[in-house]
Amino acid sequence: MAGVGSAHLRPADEVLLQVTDLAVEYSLGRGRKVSAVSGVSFDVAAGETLGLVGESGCGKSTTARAVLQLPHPTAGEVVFDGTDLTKLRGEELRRVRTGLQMIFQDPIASLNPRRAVGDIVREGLDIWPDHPHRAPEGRRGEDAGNGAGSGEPGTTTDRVRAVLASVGMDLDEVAGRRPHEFSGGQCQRICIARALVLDPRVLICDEPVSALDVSIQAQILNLLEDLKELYGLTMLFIAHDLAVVKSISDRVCVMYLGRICEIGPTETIFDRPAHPYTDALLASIPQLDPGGASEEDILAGDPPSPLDVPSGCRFRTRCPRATELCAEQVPELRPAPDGQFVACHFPLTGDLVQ
Amino acid sequence: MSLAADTPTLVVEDLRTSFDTKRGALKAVDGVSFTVHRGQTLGVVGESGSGKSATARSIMNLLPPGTSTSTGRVLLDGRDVRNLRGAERRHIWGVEASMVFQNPMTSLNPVIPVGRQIGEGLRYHRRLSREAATRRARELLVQVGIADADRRLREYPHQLSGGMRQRVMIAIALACEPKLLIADEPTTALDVTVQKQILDLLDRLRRQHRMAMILITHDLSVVAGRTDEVIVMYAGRVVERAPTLRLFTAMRHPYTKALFESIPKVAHPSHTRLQIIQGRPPDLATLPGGCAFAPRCAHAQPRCVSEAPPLSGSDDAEHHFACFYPAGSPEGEAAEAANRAAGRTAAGLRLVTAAGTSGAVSA
Repeated sequence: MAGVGSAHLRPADEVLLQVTDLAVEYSLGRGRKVSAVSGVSFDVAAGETLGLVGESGCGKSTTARAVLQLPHPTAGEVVFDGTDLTKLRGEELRRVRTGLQMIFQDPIASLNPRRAVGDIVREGLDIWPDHPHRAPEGRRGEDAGNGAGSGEPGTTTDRVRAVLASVGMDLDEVAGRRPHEFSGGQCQRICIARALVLDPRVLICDEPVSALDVSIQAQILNLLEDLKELYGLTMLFIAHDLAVVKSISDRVCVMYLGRICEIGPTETIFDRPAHPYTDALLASIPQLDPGGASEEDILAGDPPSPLDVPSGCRFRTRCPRATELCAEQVPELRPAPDGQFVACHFPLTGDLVQ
Repeated sequence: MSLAADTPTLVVEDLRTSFDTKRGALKAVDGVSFTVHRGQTLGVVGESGSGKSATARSIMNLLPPGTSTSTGRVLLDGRDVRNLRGAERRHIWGVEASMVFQNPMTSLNPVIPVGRQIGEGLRYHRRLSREAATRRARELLVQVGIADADRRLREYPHQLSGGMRQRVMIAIALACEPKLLIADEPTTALDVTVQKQILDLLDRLRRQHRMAMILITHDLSVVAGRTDEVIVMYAGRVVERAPTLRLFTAMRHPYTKALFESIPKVAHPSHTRLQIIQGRPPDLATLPGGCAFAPRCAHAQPRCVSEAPPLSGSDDAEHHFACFYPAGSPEGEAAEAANRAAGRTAAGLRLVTAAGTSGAVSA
């Protein structure tokens, strides 16, 4: 799956976030390097949700962190609303970065156990007292829920109250309590409130429901959809669960070993995958069908080590269609007939649009 | 032995396990009974705190001594293995019944090569020589699908990928050819492609060895198509039990049905509104008096709050559920309709319309 190239990128003025040729390398000492992400380009339009999927080690979390400059990527550009974050440092970077917030997989571990929930949620506002947080625009005053859209930007406490209400919590009830008094699902709500308090334009979700119980997952996914509309959020959503990604994303980007295989509209990727890796991933989803699981061998073995990536297409060592060409040439992302872009010399959907 | 063929591999009768905590006795398993026959797979489905792992550990006698009490019978091949001690108990582990755990990294010893870990049981139980144990370990690695077995035998767990570690765990579990294999969330820590490999492997080995297997998972899609029978647990009790096919075609307990409906499905278009189960799993130390699911159930009636339904509702001899107002029955539908009309259930749950429920419910 080596996917490089930028044919799939939309014009810069149509997107809110544009990532080009992102590379993240970690040094292992003695001059050895592991390349976690290489040549990844994608963009996200305002109000859109882009799902990032792939197996562990494919670089999806690294990509998300590199967007936030945590750490700074080795190469590439991350343009957010016209500003290239990779060029910024210090306070300037931190100020711009308030527009991008993140929630993580383990909600309990991402909250400071010694601080009260009220303080956790309001901390961003204390750090940026002059931050021009807006009141929710989307559904102001209508069905914003528990007064979340009550209008005028008021005091810091009003803002904290509104944002907690929008995740289904009451400030007076939770302000003085500490994270250990809450369940995993509630902690994730607190994390979401903390992320939203500075009114970010982009919310990056790194496996936000994988650590939660099945019956709580649906609550959080529905909540994210509601908040996206309420606050007009743009989302980058990372998950390994393909059904979860399908449910929440407008577009999907499939990664393998640090590169993009395929990117395009959700329905297209799931109905007519063009990349053999996407196809294999989809085929390994356990079916909620008691008729009997198929036991065909979809994808044998494990992904190769990122220390020693295959030449050419990185998926070729496990790909049923691989030829010598795949070992020699890194395939570029090219448009497939169904509207997605695929990085494969021999895609499943026939000839690529030239 | 025709007699042995009729004896179920595992019979669990009225298993009750509680843990002593500062907040009082916590009933983790509360009257669980089931039977698994040779060559069969039983799926145990439940969320965290439902008692599925405590059930497995109770069967295996792996409960922390001193802080837990457990009653009920566990018959392995007709023999009660509950009160064995010392060498007799150790003979059960690995030889009669063995277990595969969720996290292979913490279950393997990091400072011993995997080959020796696989051979350990063989050396101890089967009294094999070191060479014979290594030979057998090599065969087992091949059997669980690890390529280059000679090299892998000498490697340490950290040198293997997650999927390979789980394969090694399975090789260890199978080394002494147990009659029963309990797999407790064997694929939860693994990627979806590897998950399929491991589940397929377990299935193949079960058929080859004609083992009885218990597959414990929080994921309904893991048991679909891979088990003969399923029990669904909630707050320490079995709320529904049925042959797998039957369960997926007619879910009768409102919890099973709601759990199924809350899972995002790949077959649905994106942005399909998910059905949610309101509230969260109960605190086992302060369980409500009646049905444990009543506070989250759209069917709940006054009777559900005061009286715990036994696992006696049934369509036939094989499908049982613990509910007074089951899904798909006239009583159940009338109960839900009445609750929707009133806007709340007898347990005080506010029933909101399908849209806009996420913010209003703070778990």
